[in-house]
Amino acid sequence: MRGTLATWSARLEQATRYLTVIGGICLLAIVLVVTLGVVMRYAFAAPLLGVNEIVQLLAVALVMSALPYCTAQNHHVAVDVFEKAIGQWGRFLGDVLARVLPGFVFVILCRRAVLKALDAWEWGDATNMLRLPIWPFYAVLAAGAGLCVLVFALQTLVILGRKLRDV
Amino acid sequence: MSDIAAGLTGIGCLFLLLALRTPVAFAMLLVGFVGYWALEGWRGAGGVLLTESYSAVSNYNLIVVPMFVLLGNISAEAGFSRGLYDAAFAWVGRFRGGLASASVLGCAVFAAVSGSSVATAVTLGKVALPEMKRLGYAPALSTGSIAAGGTLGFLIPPSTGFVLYAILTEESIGRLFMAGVLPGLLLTLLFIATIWLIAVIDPKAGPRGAAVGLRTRFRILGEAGPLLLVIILSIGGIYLGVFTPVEASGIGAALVIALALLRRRLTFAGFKNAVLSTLSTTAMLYAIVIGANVLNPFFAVTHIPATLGAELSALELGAYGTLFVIIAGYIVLGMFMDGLSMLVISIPIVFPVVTGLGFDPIWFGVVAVIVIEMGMITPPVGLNVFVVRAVAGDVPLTTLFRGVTPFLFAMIAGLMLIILLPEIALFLPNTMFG
Repeated sequence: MRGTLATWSARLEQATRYLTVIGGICLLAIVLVVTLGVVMRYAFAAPLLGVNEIVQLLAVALVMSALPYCTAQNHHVAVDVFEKAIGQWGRFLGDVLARVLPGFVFVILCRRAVLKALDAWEWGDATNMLRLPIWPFYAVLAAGAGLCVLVFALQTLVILGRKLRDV
Repeated sequence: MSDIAAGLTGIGCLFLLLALRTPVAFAMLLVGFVGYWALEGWRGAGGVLLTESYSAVSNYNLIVVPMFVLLGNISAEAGFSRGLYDAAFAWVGRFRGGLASASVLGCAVFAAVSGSSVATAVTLGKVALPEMKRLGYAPALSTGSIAAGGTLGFLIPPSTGFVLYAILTEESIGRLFMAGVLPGLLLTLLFIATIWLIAVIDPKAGPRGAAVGLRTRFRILGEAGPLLLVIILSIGGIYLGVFTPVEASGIGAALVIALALLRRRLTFAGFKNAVLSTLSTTAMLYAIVIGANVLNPFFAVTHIPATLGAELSALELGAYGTLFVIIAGYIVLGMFMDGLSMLVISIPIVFPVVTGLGFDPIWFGVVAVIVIEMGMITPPVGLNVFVVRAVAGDVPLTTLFRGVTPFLFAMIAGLMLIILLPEIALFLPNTMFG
């Protein structure tokens, strides 16, 4: 059981790492699009239309593909000044709550984003300038939130497993 | 339960979650969502969660964060920070405490490509601390100057602090960036004066470095020139209205990548590290913005900011008295909380009070950022101090905190000057935007 959990945990971490490739591509694409927009405006007097919308779309994909990685690596900012004061059980409780509670909110976010994506797809909602369909924006948001839920769930299981082993 | 009681319960839960080491972003997200759910119902809370999260991740202006973080990371990976330090040393190294002054100058210039205090302290610390150790600098002075110099990263544009402040208060990022320039230079000069004073009182603490000839000085400056040009282009471009902050950040990142590739200073592994680190920092910062975005509607329905304003007015302390109470609160919070967290949690509550008192919102952004910076070097948390300790390795924490104390006084002096003469912060944005 412990071995299976460790394997799944490692696989998920690997998946979040692969996902950062998408994030990296989006990051560089934003650099390119923004630079191109400036160059076209000043060098060729031909401003690119809808740069904002492209950047916004790429930003959603960038953040939501990087969020599971950041969560899996525990890179989020936390206040650890009371670490000694809360003791071993306090830390355990904190570690579990810090994953279960946000996990619950991310489940709701994921569900809401899926519903919104379906809604936008059905009604053909699009951006103002380039008329880009907006359902993919919400689909990416839902996918990122869903992956974060998986990360939270596996991290919780690992923490519980470790505690059971120690006790 | 009244709205106010719900708000105070929410704040209590927020601090409890933070004490239990829940990441700041998720603690805010959770309290905001559950609090809104309790007051306005499930449907409303779900709607707020989705719309606020979406508006955070698709915020066009917030894209300056990953762009400038990438710029800073690529500069560090390509070793440009070393060039900045060498140039600063060539010009000021021969004075008393010259290496420490060069470190602060290096921090100030690196701050112009990096929006983070920690990144600035780590990058310059790695370069400067071994040099200062080699020349026999007192550990308190060497580590203190780097920890204090690092705080400039949060003030000198591009600053993540200003970006978040702008997003939370709907103020102009460009105005805030410009407002940070002169206070950043003022603090740099105050830090250098502090170093000089320490070295005059105790010459062994900061011996002079070897003098460098004028021609060599210009040659070394020339080597740092391309990066300085990127800084001048991006920040100058915003000042002259040629670029928006987003465009300046994109151009800056593109130029620094091109520069690193042309000079063959960037390996694939280094590039991968820089991108991965940028993605992680970006996700961390955006998560905080999502959390703050979901928390703010909850605070709004509880009327906490309005009530706090009314309570502070009832104390009849006057505008500046109230401001000092707020600053004192920030200093206390800064002892326990990380700067970014403090900013996103407090600004939605404090901002309406401060603007209600008639203070300029841009000026207050500068004041808030400086006070938050002070929290980064005050005990017991002082994030920059811990970071420098990790780089320095063998310096006790007590020595480090003793070392940053004179710089803390310099920051207080700078803050007082900016409060007394708001033009220090407002001159550039007012000249530029009218």
